[in-house]
Amino acid sequence: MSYILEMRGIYKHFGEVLANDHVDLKVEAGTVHSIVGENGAGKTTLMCILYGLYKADSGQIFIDGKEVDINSPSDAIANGIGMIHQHFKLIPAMTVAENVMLGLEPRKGKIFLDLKQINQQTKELSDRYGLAVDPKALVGNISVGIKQRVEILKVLYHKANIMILDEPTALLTPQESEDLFRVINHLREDGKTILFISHKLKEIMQISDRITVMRDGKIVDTVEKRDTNEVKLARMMVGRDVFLKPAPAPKKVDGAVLKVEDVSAVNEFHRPVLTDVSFDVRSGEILGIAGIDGNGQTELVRALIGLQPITKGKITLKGKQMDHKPVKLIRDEGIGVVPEDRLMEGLVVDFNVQENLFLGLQRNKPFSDGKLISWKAVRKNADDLVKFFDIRTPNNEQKVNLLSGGNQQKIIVARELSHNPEMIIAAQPTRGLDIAATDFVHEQLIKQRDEGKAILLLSLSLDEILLLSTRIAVIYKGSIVAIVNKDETTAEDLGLMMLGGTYEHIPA
Amino acid sequence: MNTVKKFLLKREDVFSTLIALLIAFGIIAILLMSTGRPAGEAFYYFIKGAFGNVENTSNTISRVIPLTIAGVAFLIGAKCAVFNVGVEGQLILGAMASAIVGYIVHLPAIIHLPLMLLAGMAAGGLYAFIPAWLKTKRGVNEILSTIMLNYPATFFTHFLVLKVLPMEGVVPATPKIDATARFATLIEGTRLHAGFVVAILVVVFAYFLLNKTSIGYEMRAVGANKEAARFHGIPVEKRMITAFMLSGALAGLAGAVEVAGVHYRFLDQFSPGYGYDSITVAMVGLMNPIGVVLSATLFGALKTGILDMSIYTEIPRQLTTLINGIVVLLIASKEMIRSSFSKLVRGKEEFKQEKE
Repeated sequence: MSYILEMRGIYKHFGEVLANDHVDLKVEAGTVHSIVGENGAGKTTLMCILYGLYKADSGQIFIDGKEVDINSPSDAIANGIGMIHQHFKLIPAMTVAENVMLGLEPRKGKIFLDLKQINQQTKELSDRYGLAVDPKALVGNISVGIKQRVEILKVLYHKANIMILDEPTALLTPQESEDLFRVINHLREDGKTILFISHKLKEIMQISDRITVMRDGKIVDTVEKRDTNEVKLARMMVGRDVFLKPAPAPKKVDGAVLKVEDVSAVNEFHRPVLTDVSFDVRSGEILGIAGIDGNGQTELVRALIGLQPITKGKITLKGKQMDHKPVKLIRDEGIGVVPEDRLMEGLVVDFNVQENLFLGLQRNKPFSDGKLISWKAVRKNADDLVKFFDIRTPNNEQKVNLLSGGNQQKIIVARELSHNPEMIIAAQPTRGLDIAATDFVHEQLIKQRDEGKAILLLSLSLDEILLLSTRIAVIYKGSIVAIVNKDETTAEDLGLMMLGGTYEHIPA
Repeated sequence: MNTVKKFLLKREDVFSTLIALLIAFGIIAILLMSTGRPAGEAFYYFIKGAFGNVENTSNTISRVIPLTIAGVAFLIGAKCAVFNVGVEGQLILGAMASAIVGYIVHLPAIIHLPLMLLAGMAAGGLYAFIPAWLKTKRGVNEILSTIMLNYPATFFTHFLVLKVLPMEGVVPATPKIDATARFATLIEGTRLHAGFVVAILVVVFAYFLLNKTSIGYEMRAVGANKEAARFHGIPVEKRMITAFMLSGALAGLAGAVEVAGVHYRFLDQFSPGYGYDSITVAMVGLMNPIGVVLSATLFGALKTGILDMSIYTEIPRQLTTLINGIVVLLIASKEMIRSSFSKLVRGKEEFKQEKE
């Protein structure tokens, strides 16, 4: 079997970090070859070396059996390699076609752009691969999913045979991801070779022909898709068994801790965002809130902690009235919150680890007597939490913006659990996290549940809801349309209710 | 090697500021030489003029005092997401209030001096309440409102001096304050006065407030991320109003100290732009109370050193304005310097890696 691409003995280190340790990779022509691994496993480094963004310390690259020297992206492009970056490199003020042709524009008499040619060639390319992109649309006005297609068009225009997609679904909605997979299949049928970088196992199992797993800069194994499954891949990526199986049934479910009765709220434009929402969360259970993004989940969390004024209804925690109270009072009453936006709501990224580990508790004992901060207590708290939750940081005075997403989330979880709240609200607690970090968060939530805490879980991932919840509430257009026991429902039923109970055609 | 690297990177902001200043002075030197003026000689007289003897050093310090207090005033606001460009106006009103208290009431020194300083703080703090209220309740950008509010402050004091208050002598100014409202001169024949103790106290206060108290922590949290602060139960608007008024009060104090230590009265055209300089001072001082002292020293020296320089080298005094401008420009582009500095120390590829 001949390989279109072969990388041999790629070795690369950054300072003390070994990013690629003698990596060998063989890719067959006309396949979708996935490279998977946790954040920091070295997959992006490997691709940057292939695309000429980094220079390997040692190692060889062969294209169609011939050794090539790639020192810059233009070398890579000359060798038929294209890369679609996670963050797009497009010019918003120019049209799709102009972006696609940029640098290699057809001209009239060497001076003037041949706009007709530009638009027509873009349209041809777009039609050929089923991309359905309007060449004359301004890039600034199109959606993220379409922008990605423009990047793909650009690479196609550069006549790439090998296309690298670096975590292409990170910014896409589920529907956009499905569309992307259709495009990828189209490209594969046309004989292109796709290198697909990701750490989302589900989509890897969906799209790949072969899968290479990396861990700590080394290749663990390369396997055929038909010979593996998500659990096996996860084990290879993380190096040990991971959860990924449904949470065991709760030990003991008690009375309601949080009661929400007929709560309604409007946004700043006086449009209703929550309408007659009622549910309760009982001690020892996880109540999952399933719903498509933008159906009131954000407002619900904000209403519960006093940030979103409510126009009607009652919220009680252990029988105490909580609505129309200041945030600080509600939080101190015993609510821990893992907010959906880690960087904007969960952390002060310019603060260091120990400062973030007592955010919100700066007037509570033992950190303060109400006026003065005891840095001794702050340091001790940080030492304890960093050790207990295994937060990876060079030291406790490290600013958190330099930590990985997983470690940032650990800081939030550690802090919110540290004051032992009876009610925990977790909103999108694993968004953007890799498997090990996701597993950590899930484990903590289940542990808290079994200690008798009441947990409200909001997630856009139905899989996560099904994995963890005891009961599931479906939110649609600001209303709770159903509350069901997990054992009595299916993903299909929930999906239907999340869409408002009717099948709707979702346009591409 | 690695410890050196780590040290350089840990203090990255300090080194990039120093590099920015070096480049600024390099540009000045080139400008001087290209117009046929002796840069080396100019520098010599500059240093001599600022620190050459006891008198010059004392005069430099007397400039450092208001710059330090005003710099801290700006810093306290900026730490809590309040960009108070109104330090100038608050300082002028503070000076006027303290000058009035200084000459109208007659009290023993132990009460009179603190009272006139408090009057200055009250005037500055209350004046800052206007933009604070506008910002938190009406969403008016504080940069615009404070810049605009500097004008009423200037012209109101102008009006008081010319039309309302009695005048002594030919210069438009208020009557001199009582001896009981004055700071003692520390070195006879110079302008060095006991107000520098106040400056030190202000720096210590700011450091203590921001780093040792719960409210200071909350103010910094608001400054670094309002959304997160709100989410964690910090009353964002209240803290901003506090910071704004505190900033104004310190600005007023800077004016009062200037009255009690240097002029002993309110002069029309009172401030040589201390309020505007406070922004540069705080930024060059890296938004750190101790850093503010160092950068106030630099800018104080700039004001006194330039005098000797212009006398002995025939370089016009207006060069100060130019120097100020170039320093501000380079400090503003510090991020660029910082990233090249990082690249240099870390090595190019490591830098790229970390950016991702």
